[in-house]
Parts: sequence; structure tokens; C-alpha cells
Amino acid sequence: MFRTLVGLLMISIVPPALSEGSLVKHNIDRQSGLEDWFVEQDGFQIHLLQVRPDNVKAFYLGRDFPVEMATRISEYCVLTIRMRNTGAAPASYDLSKWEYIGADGSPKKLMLKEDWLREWKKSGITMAFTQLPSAQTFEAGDWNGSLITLRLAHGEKFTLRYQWQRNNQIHAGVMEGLRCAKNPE
Amino acid sequence: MRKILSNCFQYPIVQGLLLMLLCYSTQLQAARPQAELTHQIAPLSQRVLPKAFTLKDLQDEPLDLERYRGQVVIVNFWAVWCPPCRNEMPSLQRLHTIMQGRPVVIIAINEGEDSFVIERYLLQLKPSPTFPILLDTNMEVASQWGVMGLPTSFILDKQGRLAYKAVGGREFDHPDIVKIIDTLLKE
Repeated sequence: MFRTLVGLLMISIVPPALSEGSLVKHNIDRQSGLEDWFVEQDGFQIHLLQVRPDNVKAFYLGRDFPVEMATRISEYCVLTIRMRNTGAAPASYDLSKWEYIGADGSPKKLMLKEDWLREWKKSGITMAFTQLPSAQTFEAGDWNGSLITLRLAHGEKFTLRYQWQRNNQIHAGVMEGLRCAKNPE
Repeated sequence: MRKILSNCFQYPIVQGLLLMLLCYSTQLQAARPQAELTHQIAPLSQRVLPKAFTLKDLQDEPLDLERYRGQVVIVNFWAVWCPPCRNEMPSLQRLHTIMQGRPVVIIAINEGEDSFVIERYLLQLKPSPTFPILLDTNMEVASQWGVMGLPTSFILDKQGRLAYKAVGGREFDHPDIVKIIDTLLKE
């Protein structure tokens, strides 16, 4: 019994949050069951948080999007992303250079804000701030959070290859074991 | 079972492991990234005049930015749906209170939301903001000012030029930001 207890305690202190790679912290919210992943490297933070399809739809309906469009957006894999420059010099990102790899194993580009804006314009929607700007420069202390869209199925696992730049130097990294949210069954 | 467990806890190794577990869980909590507000604001490399605007407030009264020339102006672009915008709003009101009687003006420009939604939110705040809330209904001013994400804030010098820019939520009554405003007032 004593050995079992010690064994259980030993297992419980192995950091599960670091299981997805040395830099990536993984967390599962106890109440909602939603997962998030956080990486900080050389003064730049990236934090990805799952959003359930129902919540995506409700969010866009709340912004007066037509039902068809809100439904369409929620059919994609949508995540909240927060990026923060914690370094002393400006840092920039360009989402067009990011890639994700889903179950089919082939690298794909993110669906960008401009892709959505083209569609939304046809429907007369002008709400541009709900998707993360495709490229941005953060001064020291700046940060921004918004939504990103991936062409993946709900619940699908994927790997994200990200990069950002500071002083003309590219910093690249990989976040593995990420997963799109799905609605509760 | 209870007896066995209580016996186990008498062993120093079990007590030590429990302490380690407690420390580890505390560390995890501390390491959890939060969307907290910061207080760094970067000066703009060149001070230029922004595009002038006239926007209506919640009482449908037009307000012209030009009327505040000669004062330090904080222009905050925000929306109710944006969590960091909501987080920083009370600090804008606290800054407004700190700066009472001095030539400092705060203007919060809402992006594309219905005035009913805005008012409902503002009434929940204690105290409710007493500085002007303007409506950028079609988000034209944000576009003209190069705002890419919410919240974004600017600090204008007394000549009406853009002096500082902050992307993301800030604690506006932080001493570092108050110091920046004091410096601009002395220019």
C-alpha cells in the first residue's frame, strides 16, 4: 500500500504539461475540458486556446453575422490565439508563413483574415477585428489576441509550425499534439 | 483504509512528496499564461498628426477630436466583445480620476457595436466611465488610424500628434503610464 501510494505520488509529480515538447505547456481546463497550449521563446509568447464550434457560432451570431455565415465559420477549426512581445525590441509575425499538419500529413497554410474579409464583404459584413491580422509588428509590451481558422475537422489533431521575426532574425518552432475542439457529445 | 493512510503520512518521505506535489501545483498555477494587462507603451519613432475625426457619442452628440488640441489625449479603440478591452476599461476610468483638473482627455472609441450593447456593459462597471465613448459604427476611423486589433490605444501630445501607441490591454493608471503623460504635459 505504501509503495503504491509513493508510486502514485511519483506519477502525479511528472509534469504532464511539458509532454508535447520541451517548450510547450499544455493545459486542460478542469471545468470546461478545453485545452490550451503555450510557448515562450526568446521574449515572444504564443498561446493557443480551443474554442468549441457552438461557441464560435454563438460568438459570430452575437456580432450580427447572418446565421449561414456564423454556421460556416463554426464548421472550421477555430482557435483563440494570443501573442505577446515580452522582449525589448520589436517582433513581427506573418501568418502566411505558418503551416499546420493534420491527419492527412500534408502541410497546409492557415486561412487568413483577408480570405474571410473577401467572403464577408459579399454579405455586407464589416466586422474585421474578430480574426487575427495576418501580419503585425509588436513593439515591446504589445500583444494581441483574436481567432485563427484552420481547414481541419472538429476534434482533429495537428502540428503547428510557427515563426516570428526580431532584428531580421527568424525564430521558428513547432507545437505538436494540438487538437481542434469539438462540441460535447 | 483510513488508518493505513494516516500511518503513511507519518513517513517523512510521504510528507516530502506531498510537499513537492504542492509546490509543483503552485508552480503550474504561476506558470499559467494569463491575458494580463501590461504597462509598457512604446513611443512612436515619428510624431505625426492622425486623420481628424468627428464621431457621435452615446447621446448622439458629435465630438470633434480637434477640440482637444492643447491637451494630452488618450484614444482607446475597443469593443465589448473583446476581453482585454473590458479588462483595461476600469483602469482608464481610474486614470481619468487621477488626471481630474489637468489637461488630459480620454476618449474610448467603440468599434461597430450597438449603443444598447455598449450602455448595458458600461452600466455594469462600478464606477461607470465618465469620459466620452464614441461610436465608430462602420470602423472607418480605426481603419484610418491603422488599428489592426483590439484594444489599441494612442497617446497624443498637446500638438495633437501621435506620440505613443499600445497594442493589447494596458493598466492605464500604472505609474509608468502616468509618468509618460506627465512628461507629455511638460513638453
